[in-house]
Amino acid sequence: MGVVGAAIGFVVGWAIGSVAIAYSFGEDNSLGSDPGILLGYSLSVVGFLAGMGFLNYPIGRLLGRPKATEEENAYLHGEGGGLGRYFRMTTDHKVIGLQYLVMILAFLFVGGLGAMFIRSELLTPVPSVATAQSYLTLVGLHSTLMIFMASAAIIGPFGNYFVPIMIGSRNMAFPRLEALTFWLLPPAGLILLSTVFLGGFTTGWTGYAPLADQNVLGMDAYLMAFALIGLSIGLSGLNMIATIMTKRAPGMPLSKMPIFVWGVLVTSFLGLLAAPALVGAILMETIDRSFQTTFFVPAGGGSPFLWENLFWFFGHPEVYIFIIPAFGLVMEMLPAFTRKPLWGYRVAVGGMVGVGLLSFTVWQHHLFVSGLAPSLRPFYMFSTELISVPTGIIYLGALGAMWRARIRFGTPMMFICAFFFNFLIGGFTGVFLSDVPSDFTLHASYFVQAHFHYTIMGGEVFALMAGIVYYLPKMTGLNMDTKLLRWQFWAVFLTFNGTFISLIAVGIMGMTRRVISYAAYLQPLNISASVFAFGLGTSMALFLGILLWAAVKKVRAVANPWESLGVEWQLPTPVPAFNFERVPTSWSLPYDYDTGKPATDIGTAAPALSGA
Amino acid sequence: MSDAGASPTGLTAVEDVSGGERTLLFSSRLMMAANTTLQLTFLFTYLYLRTNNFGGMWHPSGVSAPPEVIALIGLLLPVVALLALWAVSNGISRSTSSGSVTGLLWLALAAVVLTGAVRIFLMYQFGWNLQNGTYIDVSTVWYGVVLAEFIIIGLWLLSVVMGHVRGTAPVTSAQLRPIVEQWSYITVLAFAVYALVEFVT
Repeated sequence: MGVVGAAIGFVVGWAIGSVAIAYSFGEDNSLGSDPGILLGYSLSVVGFLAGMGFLNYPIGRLLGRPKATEEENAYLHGEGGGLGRYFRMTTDHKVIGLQYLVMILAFLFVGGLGAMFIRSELLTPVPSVATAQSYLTLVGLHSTLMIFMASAAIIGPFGNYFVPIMIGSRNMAFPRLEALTFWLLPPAGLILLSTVFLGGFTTGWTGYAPLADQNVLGMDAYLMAFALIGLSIGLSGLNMIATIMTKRAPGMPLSKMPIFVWGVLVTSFLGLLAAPALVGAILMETIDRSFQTTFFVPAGGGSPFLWENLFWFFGHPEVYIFIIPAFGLVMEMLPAFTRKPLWGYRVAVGGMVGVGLLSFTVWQHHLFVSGLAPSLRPFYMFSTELISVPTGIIYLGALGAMWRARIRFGTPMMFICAFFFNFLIGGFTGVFLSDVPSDFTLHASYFVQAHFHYTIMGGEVFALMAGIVYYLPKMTGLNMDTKLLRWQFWAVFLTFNGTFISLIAVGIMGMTRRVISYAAYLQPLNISASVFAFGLGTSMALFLGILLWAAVKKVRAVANPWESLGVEWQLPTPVPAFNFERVPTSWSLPYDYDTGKPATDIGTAAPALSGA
Repeated sequence: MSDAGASPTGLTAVEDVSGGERTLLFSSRLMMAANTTLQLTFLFTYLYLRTNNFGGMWHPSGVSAPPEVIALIGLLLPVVALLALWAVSNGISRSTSSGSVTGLLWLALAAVVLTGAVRIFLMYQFGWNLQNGTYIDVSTVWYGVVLAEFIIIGLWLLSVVMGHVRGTAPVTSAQLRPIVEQWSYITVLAFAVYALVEFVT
């Protein structure tokens, strides 16, 4: 029904936009106008959501109908729905977590294919297969799709699945809203991919004006998709904050919250407060393209710098939206392998809050080479470099947890160690980009690209893999093949570093990013990067293969393979419909490995709760 | 009710399950925080383009401000709606008769609908050419966003009124409080936008 709704919505919107609006505003009234495409996309999303059943509840309330019955609630919660509940709207946060996981991996796969195409093209210093235009679209698609994936990679699967459990809640604050934040993403991804049928876009993921104003219709797909992502990030943040702040179990103050929940909380505030800037900027860019306003067009009194400011006010906190939950996740898993309490829990939480706060004060370092007033540069250089302090504090917490520990090197622990190694290189390279003089030299080069991949792929994606291996037994009751995973780990770790160390080198040697051709003397390093990248792609595919193999062969996991003290591991697998039959009331931090005392005793609980 | 220890959030366990009214109020305030970022985005745009006046295209000569009388009516009506909403809240807390509460709810809803209608008419009366300067662009988008927010809160109020009238969800002051806060916020915002747009010179 969702697909039918989307098709009907697109046709209706396209027709109205093309004929009526375009004609009224004196635009080209053919079927290929910006208003037609944008209205078509907008109504296709509305039609999709209506087909999925998202409008039933608000329309019912507007008509004064009674709230949902017990049966309707049970259906929405997916009770007795079998596999079908994974393909429809559901209010069970655990089902939504798994929906996110599958979608994230699908996006990762498609975006990864894009990376393989890019590295194939760059084997030669002159264009071989792609044209300059199609290459730019390919780069834009890869980067934007990966940004989409990264914005939800940790919070989507693990936040939605585990936050309510970790805080002793039976559900999210707004379960329908939670479902909506997920179901906005598949249309966003498909709309973005549809850009190839509309001529693509050449701006990359940052959508810089005035290029965005000059682009063909494919730019509309980028704008629509990014607006949906912004909406999803903002609403997800709202729901997470409301859940964490108002639905914690009795007996759980903030000081006893698992550190992963803290990571999600800080990130959610970033999403809630940063995403509206993106949505506002996209609104202005959209009407620039549709109705010839001139917010970002110099000839009409606008300014491309305005876009840069608004975009990066969102864009830089966005980077921390990627990485803070990853920090939270690895810190959550770490004590299970070091068998020691998490060292400096409060300080590490303070570090996360510090990174979150500072992330709003640094956006103009992206504008150092764009004509930013020289008098402003020292402040933004200083604030950017200051971020390394709270980040270092988080690192100290992790190192403290490992210090003199009898570490169990399970496969998740190997990915965790790689996370800290990779992110360290990402952090070091970042210092050069926060420094004005070196940034002037490096800004347009592959150095930036390598730095970014070290932080996001080397950091967040490695945390994602660690999280999947660690939590799969709890989420699905299945286990991944440990032997194969160890081979896969070394393959992905070595090829990742081989790829991006090569790109750091070509960046320092002056290779410009987003350009299809390069100087001949850079070819050996580019071949090196490409060969390692193909290995990286293969090893990532191997990870997916091991995951699929576990699902197909149904390799059963033991109940608590890591002997964790977290409450999520004290619950049965699969976790019951509303998590707790009785909500526990006595909580402690789940890292007390000295005594082996779990976070809570499921037997020490309040009386059974009725309703959901 | 639970005999468990008090929750640090002040919620009882039963409220925790069903999604209590405190959750709604808290979330509504979060929404206001997010809305503030959105409004600051437009304020930044306004100040940036006005201050720099690129190519003298901020406010070219001959561009007029919105019609003042209609704009003032568009500000007066949300205040009337707000007073009616306050009256409903007071009526509920003082256990006023159900008929009076219902009457006040309808009055508030009527003022809300009129607010939307007048502001749509106001935007129609702008008569601006969108390519004629960035003052026009910012003003149009900002008025449009404020209008959209009035409509969204209006729909929220409509759902409360319909639930009350049909007896499926009698209105409570806790249910009304976030709506009153949101409407107050947007009304203040509408005044600020009016001042920035009307007194451009």
